[in-house]
Amino acid sequence: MRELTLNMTGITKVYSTEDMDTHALRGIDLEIYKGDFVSICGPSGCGKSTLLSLLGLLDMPTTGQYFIEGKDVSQLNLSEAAFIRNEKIGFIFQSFNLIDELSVFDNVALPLRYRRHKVSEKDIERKVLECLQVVDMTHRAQHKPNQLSGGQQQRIAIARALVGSPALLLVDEPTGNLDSRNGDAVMEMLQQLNANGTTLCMVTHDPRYADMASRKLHLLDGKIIDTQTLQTGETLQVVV
Amino acid sequence: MLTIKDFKTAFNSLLRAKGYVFTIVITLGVTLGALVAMFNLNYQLLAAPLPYPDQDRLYIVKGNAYKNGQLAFADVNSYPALVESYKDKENFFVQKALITVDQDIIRSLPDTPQVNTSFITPEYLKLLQAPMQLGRNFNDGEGLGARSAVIVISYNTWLKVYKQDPDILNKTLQFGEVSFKIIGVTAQYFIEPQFDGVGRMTDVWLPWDYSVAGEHTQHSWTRLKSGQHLVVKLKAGAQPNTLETILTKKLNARFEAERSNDSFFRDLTIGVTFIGYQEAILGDIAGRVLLLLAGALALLLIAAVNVTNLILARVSNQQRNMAIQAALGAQKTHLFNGLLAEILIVILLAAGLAWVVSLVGVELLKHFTYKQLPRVAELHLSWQSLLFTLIMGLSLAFAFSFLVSHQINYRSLNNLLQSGSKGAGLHISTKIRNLLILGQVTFTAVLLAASLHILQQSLQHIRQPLGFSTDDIYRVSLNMGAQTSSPYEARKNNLLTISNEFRTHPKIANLSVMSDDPINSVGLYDYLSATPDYQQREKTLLSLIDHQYVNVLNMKLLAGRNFTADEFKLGSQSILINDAFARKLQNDGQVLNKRFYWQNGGAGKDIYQVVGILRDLSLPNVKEEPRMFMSQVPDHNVQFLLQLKPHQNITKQELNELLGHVNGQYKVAEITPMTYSHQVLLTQDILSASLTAVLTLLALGLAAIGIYGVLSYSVQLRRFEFGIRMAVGARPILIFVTVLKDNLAPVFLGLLVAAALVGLWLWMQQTNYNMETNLLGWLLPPMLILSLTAATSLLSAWHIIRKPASEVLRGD
Repeated sequence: MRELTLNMTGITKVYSTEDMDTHALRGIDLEIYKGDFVSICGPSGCGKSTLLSLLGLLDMPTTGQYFIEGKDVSQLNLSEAAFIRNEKIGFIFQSFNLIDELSVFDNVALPLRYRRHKVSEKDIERKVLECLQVVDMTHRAQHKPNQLSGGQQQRIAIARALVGSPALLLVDEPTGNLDSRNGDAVMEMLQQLNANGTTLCMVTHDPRYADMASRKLHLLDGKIIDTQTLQTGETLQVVV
Repeated sequence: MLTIKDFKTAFNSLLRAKGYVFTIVITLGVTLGALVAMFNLNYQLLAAPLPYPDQDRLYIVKGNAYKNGQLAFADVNSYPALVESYKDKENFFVQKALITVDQDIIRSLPDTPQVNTSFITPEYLKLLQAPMQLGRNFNDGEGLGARSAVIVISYNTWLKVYKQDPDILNKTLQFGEVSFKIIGVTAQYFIEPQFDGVGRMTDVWLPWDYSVAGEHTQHSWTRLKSGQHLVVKLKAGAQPNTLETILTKKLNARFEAERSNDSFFRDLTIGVTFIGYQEAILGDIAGRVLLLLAGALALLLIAAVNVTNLILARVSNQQRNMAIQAALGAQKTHLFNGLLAEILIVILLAAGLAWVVSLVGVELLKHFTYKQLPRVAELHLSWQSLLFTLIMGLSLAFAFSFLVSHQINYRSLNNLLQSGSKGAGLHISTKIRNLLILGQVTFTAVLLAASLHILQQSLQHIRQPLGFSTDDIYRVSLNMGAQTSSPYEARKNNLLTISNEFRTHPKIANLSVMSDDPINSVGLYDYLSATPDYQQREKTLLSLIDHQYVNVLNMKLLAGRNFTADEFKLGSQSILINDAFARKLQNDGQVLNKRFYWQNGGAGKDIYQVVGILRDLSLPNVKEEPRMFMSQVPDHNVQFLLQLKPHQNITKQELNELLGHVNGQYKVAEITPMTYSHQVLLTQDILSASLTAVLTLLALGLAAIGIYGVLSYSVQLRRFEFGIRMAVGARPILIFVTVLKDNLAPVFLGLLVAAALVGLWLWMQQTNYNMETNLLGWLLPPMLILSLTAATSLLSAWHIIRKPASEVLRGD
């Protein structure tokens, strides 16, 4: 039996202002299993980024239930969410989101420095170098992000996402800011990570990259309109 | 060019930033208000003309006496010299007048109120063109030698003593044994020149003829007295220096002819100095008020720096809007106009508040400083002050807009929309930001250290026990009227009888007759010597007291005994001294029962024995002087100390009634609670404590706003970075700690600089600053500033750490 990494039931997200309510997500049911590579597609404004924010506990749902590895994380406070995010989730952003003032090494080490239980500097060094090796960037450890190319920066971002050994890697348009050669390289790296057992959930516009995933979710107006398992080419479920 | 649309847009934008508007309006309103009040004060004192016609030609002629060419006595005149100068027919002046001041009681009123009197010749009020509320000024027929029993009263006397009686004219009031007819009341807005002490206002104007009692004084050229003046109005173009020379020559010729053969006067000469009214009234106040203006200006500058930070932080927040405007073709001028419109609205509100603050400030100055600062009664917010407020407000608005618009990198704004929300359009380097924090902290810490030091000292004085009781004790000054000239023995007997009469009053528990109390000393000094040759003599304050004085005041005897009733009645060769004097007479202070020679003001060399040594008193702000007490009924300046039974009050009428049983000439001049005398003594401390408390709060407030401005700007710049940190798992507390850590470096550096500055100042002052007793004074400023830094760090990070990471990353 496959091990469930996360599951969402009836998740909604409403952004309220004085004048109006905007329903970004309207009842999402989703299950992601250990080792899955899920891609989320859909037109602009369909709720992809909101769903990714909720998956990564960067934001909390308005209603619904959300479990990560069996733990209810639907309504955590900011500190509790930060702990779970730090230990269970890794992020890769479209615009890399590296901190310019920190070296590559310190950028990658950042999640370890926010651990609930202090990690020794020796362990941090070991893990950071391991991750930099995975993305083949060890030689750039003491550089600043702005000294690197876009592709290199995204590899550093991947290393940072991996350093905490997360249960789930959330990837937001990882190739959006890269040329096709660098984009392909990054996607290859992500596929390799998945092949090694990392669970991935990726938002992308690019159908070519979306098809690299094992499961493809289509979002429209805040709802998942269909889910495809790409390895078999069959539509498994329609959840509208 | 600014348009109404700019203002409308700015107004709507500001409606969404109420906290920002409130902070700036309060910061600038209070500091600009303080500056306007100080400007107004400086203008009034240093630039505004005196409210008298031809004020630049009005001079007071001060007499001086020189011994061997050196100034021996300043501001002294002899009566005949003054009168001869006044009568001089030489045509030097347009007008001349005489004036001297005193205090007396109005005997015709049941409560015998004590009033300030000025004795003048008729020209005095004419020189000032004194406006009248009722009646008239003195006329020429009521001048020197006429002995016309007429008086003019002030508006204040009419209000307070006569309750604005409309039929006051021609009514009489009695001073001494003379009844004077009231012929006029000066107008409410008449302001007299205060030559004899700031805040001293004349209550009653009397003819000059009633100013001097003794026949001898009127003809003695060597009896020099201060506080009596000739005032003149010069002819147009006349040179005071020339007139000084002429008048000095004339007076010296007369002085030489008239002075006695006493060796003391042989090499004494006299002279006059012409001092303009402006200088005579203001004295050396210019430096002090300019310092106040500089202080207020410094506060405004600090506030301006703080406000700049706040504006920068706001502009930093609005960069995206500006970038959109720039992308749509807005020129730099358009962005500048938008900024200017916003800033102008805020400054206009601040200027309005400043006007209110300055109004309050002016009233406070009038109320609290009329005894310290001349001409404050004339203070009002003039058009000059309004103009000053507007100019300052507009200058600030343009300066802020100019500064901020120059910080905006217009080219970078165009890239902003393409590079996500990291923002690069407005950037002030970390170094500058740290310098701003360092400056704020240094200034605030120095100000806090100084303020707390003063505050601590003032509070210590306020709480300090005096060394004697003041509760339920009242000082009663006696006006002896015509009895002043009766023989001493008769007066002594009368005073003893009065003591007995007072003692019969059911409200009085105990009483003492004396020359002065410990707080209100008349300053009579004398000398004691251990040897009859007087080679080594020690100076001491001398008070004449009875045997109840020590008991009434509950003073503590360190050794020996108090006077006995017989010693007081019969007179004795016994003295009490305080510990300070005992130690002056002999290093170990063991002088009990020892005998000393008393010079008795040069009259003789009597031997007195020390029968008791009193513990030193601890009057605030006063170093305890050597004191000596003799058991004797005072010759002049007789006062009583009344110890009332608890919760009792006594009136002048009640005491006057008892005095009437002895002799109608004796009247109570004034009843002053000793607690009030104590309060007066503490006025400076209470004022200092209040001012420093306000200053401390203001300094803290300004520092908080300043540091918050810089921090919120810094945090705003790092918002995206914090978003990333939060995304990878940083908890809110860690973000706060990161902000705090970054801020602590410049804060600690600022504290170090401040400590060095305070140390340098103490070293330059050679102050005996006691580390132990002022530990709190040392610790409190850094503690306050560190707390402030923590609070402002939390506040500036608050809008980030209370939001979900997704919103921070989006820049919402």
